[in-house]
Amino acid sequence: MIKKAILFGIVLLLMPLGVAFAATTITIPEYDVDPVTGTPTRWEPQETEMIRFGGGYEAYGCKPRISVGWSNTIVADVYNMEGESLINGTNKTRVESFFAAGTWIGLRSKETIVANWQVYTSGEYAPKYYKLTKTKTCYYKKDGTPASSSASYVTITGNEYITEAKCKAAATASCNDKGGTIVGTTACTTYQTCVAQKPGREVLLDSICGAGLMPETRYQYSLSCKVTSTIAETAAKTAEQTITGLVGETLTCPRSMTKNGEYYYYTSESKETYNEPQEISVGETPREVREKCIEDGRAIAIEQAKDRVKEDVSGAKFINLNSYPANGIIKKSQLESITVPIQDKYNEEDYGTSGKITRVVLYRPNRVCLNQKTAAVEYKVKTNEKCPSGTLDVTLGKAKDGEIYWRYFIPLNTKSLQPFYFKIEKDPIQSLTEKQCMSVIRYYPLNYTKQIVLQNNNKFSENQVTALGQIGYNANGTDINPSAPTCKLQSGVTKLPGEVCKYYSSGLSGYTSLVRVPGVTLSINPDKALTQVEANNNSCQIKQTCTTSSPCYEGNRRKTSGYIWANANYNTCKRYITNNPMQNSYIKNIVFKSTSEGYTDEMTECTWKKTSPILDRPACKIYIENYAVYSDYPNLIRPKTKMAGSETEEYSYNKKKDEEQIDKDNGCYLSTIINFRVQQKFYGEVGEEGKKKLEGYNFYYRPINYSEPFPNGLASDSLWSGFYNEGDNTVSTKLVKNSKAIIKLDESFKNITYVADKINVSDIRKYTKKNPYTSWNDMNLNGTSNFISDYSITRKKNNIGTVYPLGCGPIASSMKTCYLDSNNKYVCEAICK
Amino acid sequence: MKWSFASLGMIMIGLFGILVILLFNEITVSNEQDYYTLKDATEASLIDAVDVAYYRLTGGIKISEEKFVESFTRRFTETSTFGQGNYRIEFYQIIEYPAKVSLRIVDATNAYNIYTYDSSVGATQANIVNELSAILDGYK
Repeated sequence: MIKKAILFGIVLLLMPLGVAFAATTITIPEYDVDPVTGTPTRWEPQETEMIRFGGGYEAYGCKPRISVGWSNTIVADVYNMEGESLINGTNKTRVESFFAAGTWIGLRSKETIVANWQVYTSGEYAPKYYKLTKTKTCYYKKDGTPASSSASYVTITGNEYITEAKCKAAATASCNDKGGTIVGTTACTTYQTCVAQKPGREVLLDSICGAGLMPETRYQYSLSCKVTSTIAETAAKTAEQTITGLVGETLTCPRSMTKNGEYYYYTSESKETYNEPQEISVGETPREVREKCIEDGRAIAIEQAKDRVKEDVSGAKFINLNSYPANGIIKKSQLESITVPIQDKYNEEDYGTSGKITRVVLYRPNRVCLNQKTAAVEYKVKTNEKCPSGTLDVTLGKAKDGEIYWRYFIPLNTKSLQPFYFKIEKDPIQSLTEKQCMSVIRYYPLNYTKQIVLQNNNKFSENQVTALGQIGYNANGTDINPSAPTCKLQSGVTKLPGEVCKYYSSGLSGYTSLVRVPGVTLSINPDKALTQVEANNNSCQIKQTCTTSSPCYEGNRRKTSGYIWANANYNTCKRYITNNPMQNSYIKNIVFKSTSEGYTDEMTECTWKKTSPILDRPACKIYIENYAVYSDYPNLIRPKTKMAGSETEEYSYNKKKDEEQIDKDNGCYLSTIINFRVQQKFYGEVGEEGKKKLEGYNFYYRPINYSEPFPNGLASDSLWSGFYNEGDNTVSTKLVKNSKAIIKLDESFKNITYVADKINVSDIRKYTKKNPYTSWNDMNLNGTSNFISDYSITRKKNNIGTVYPLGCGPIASSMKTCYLDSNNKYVCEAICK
Repeated sequence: MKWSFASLGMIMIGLFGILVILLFNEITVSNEQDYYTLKDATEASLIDAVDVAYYRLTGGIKISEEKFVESFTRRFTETSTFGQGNYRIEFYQIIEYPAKVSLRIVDATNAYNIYTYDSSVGATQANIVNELSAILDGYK
């Protein structure tokens, strides 16, 4: 029991990166991202919207290709009072084996969200340009009732004399062109009028054409063709035709068209469309177009990157198991609210074609104020709230590694070995996104994973958890529930005799293929085994990756990259869909048949079934803890390493209370717990282990002979160790050294400092009745006492400034508190000025 | 007559002896009382003077010098004989960190006229001096 208790130590709950001193870092990369730098190692180009350039007669469009990689790193660390990191420290670092109750620890919780972006300017993904065209669709009708009697005149003029036949022909052509025809009298006049009418309908013409004209007489003509509209504006469009041209062209719809030998009349309705969106119109020369394309691509990428860094996933929540939050100093609810970000800014770098945007979020209280008289610690929540008079602002400190931490005070009444931990957990209200959740599983193997708690509290083997990174994704990365795809007979597909189920890629909306996952098999009805897979005629296709060493063939075409869908024979297909070591296989177009008794044509469903416990997305609770606890000194914290043969212990270990605390709703939660080993050094402790009570003090009074204060020698762990010099051959005097002075003990009674010989006893007794001895009311912050002045105690010292201010002393004089200056740089200055 | 003077002499010697006894009785009693009062008050005052804020900030046990002087004076005056006696509290070397104090209690006895009525000679009075040096010690 004692051993276990001793083993509490500082426990780290982390996702190490596989290196020794990265135990505190949790990085959630989206793609193949370097977990340290956050730089994507594999960019996934995405195609942006078409951008249009040029506003003249010709216009061009461009689609810049960009990539945005995102990673999120949460770093937590703990520092001792010497500013030494307890988590990233090396063996050379002296690390206290405990924290003294009442003193402070330095905490740092920083989340860094990095979005790297780039715009492709050359190579395969260089910006692509398109010449933009415009299409005008004209709508026509065949019949209708005139909505109004409208007419228009078209005048055909010429400067030559024509014969009557030519005049008639011209009039006819003119009428035809307007959708009419000339019937009846074939007379012609200078002012020819025709009526656009439905073909075949008799139209009365002005029969003056040709009157008095001689056949060979040539006239200078001016024909006027009256076209009377008989088209109803509301009539249904019965025909249409399109005309295309450049974006700057004016496209005019013909007034009539012929379809199947019949005339259709233009309805005055048309619609212009472009082959690409018409949004931006800039750029005159190809170079300008290219630059603009890249510029706009960069703007899009930066915008996306900015949007991505908004997605901080961490929340800091500080919990301890003592009564500290409830003892009146700070309430638990306030603990959550004190975790306000102190830094939240965009840092845009590199305005070239690539760059990154970083957002750093630190968590700390606004102020930590230590009361100089009562030693009470108050955490200020509101922004810009200052520490009041009589308190020391001890909020921030600077560690030896240069990082800034904030001071958190362990309750003074904490008993030794009482569990006390600092917990960073993702906001329990908001789950990680599915991608983030899966990424965490994928990138952080079980070597560093304490336990993945599922909704049903199942515990998983390594293989199963590894599979979690693949489960539920189809080829497009769209998440699916593996138990969900129930393939039903597709509408319109004829089920042949013996076919139990047809699973076509088009049969399931939104899924182009399925990823077969270990632990998941396809079964036809829960209690029946699949007996036959038909794998002919594209009925079962396997996604085959093409490489140089393993090329694919599509007919005679050889492919060394990408993938193809290859037909699979029966055995191959069945192997892919049944439980075998092959993983991450994509299959589609499967037709299942069964000759087993009981399968009939009426059975039309088959279902992916789980054959072993597996994650019901998104019910995963990623609960990763580095719980390496060592009693040896000084390696208080070590990254957890997976020990050979200890898998069971590694994966089944869990703390009941901790598990309960993360027992949230379905979702993916990150949790980091750092347990501290606390020892009571101020108060005395009595009683048995586990039933200890605080009594008295842990330091004691001892009368000394000032000429020989430690006749039996000085223990190395004495409070006086390091200050007392008992003299040697060169120094015969017993000395006490602190940073303020070197004091000779043999002069203990040389100089009188205070004298009380004329005091009024009754007054002092009255004072004492009102003020207990432990009262510091009449003490001044500079360390002087008003009581001494008020009750006739004589100071004999020449300089009363030799006393330290309250809370200050030799050690505190060198301690610093830090703040952000106007340049956003941390400036540190002494706490005790 | 001779015996009368002898008897008177014996009485005088007896009275002188009683005064001597009273004097030494007061000296010894006061000395012991002062010592224990000094010891106990010093211990309590040292604890009173521990600067807890300093401990919370640094983990070190440091006392406040003037708080110790204040607390010791108040505690010592609470003893019943302080007001009756002729005490003088003298504080000497006080080290705040690490905590160490040296102080002295001077307790003057009552004045006894033992061998003369001559007021110019003065009564016999003794100063009982107790001094103490003490530290706060413990383990880091």
